Amino acid sequence: MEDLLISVLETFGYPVMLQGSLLPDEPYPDSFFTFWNNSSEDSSFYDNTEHSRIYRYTVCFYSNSPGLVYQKLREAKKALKNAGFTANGDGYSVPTDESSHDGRGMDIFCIRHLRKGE
Amino acid sequence: MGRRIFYAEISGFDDYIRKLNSADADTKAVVTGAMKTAAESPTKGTVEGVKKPNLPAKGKYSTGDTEKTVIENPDVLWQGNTGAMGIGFDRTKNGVGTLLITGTPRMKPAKKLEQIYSRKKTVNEFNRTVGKIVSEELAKKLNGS
Repeated sequence: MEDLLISVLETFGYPVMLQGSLLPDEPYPDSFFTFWNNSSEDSSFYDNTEHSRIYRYTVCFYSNSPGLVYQKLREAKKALKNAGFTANGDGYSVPTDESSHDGRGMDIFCIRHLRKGE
Repeated sequence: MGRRIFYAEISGFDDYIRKLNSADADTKAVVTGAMKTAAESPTKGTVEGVKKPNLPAKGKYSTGDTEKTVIENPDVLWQGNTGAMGIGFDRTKNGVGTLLITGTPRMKPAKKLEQIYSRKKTVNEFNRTVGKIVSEELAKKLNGS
């Protein structure tokens, strides 16, 4: 699921990284995405077996261009929806380590139907 | 207001509310009390979540300020039939609660706080507790005790 998430975000041409993975002395790229997997819960239980799994992610976009943080996150929401993810709302502001950058995040999730024996 | 806002929309529980009203119960007071009880568990978890062992780098950089920003007795604000309650950190005070929940590009989210505020489980438990207390209150009123 993470592969799909990353590949969709990479279509925007910005770096995509795991939240918290930038080194302390590593400079922020001008604009970039981060993601974090909040949970993966089994669901659709029948015959004592799970038949689907719900993945929840936080996706953030950071930029030194304030206008881009709204625009790109909205575009990412559309692209992720087309790829089968679900996103709720218009995102929220997220803190950054650098005063040069603004950030916005959104919570997305995806339900994956499990194959037999998976 | 805190990081996460919890809502109780009482107009959706028409049957419950009609019964509570007919039993002379103060519906908003009952729901307010239920929400406050339901908030105890995530609030306790939040206080625990900002203790040094649960912070990034085991709290090496913690000043203790964030713990002082935890909303310990959240209020319910009513707008029409919707009660809203902010649980988490008081953003008007100096602290880094929100930052700990979402993390930053250079810092991973604090695990315990992220579990409380980024997962569906907390909302489900909150709603379940509110529903249980309201239905118990209704049963008490209808039975005249």
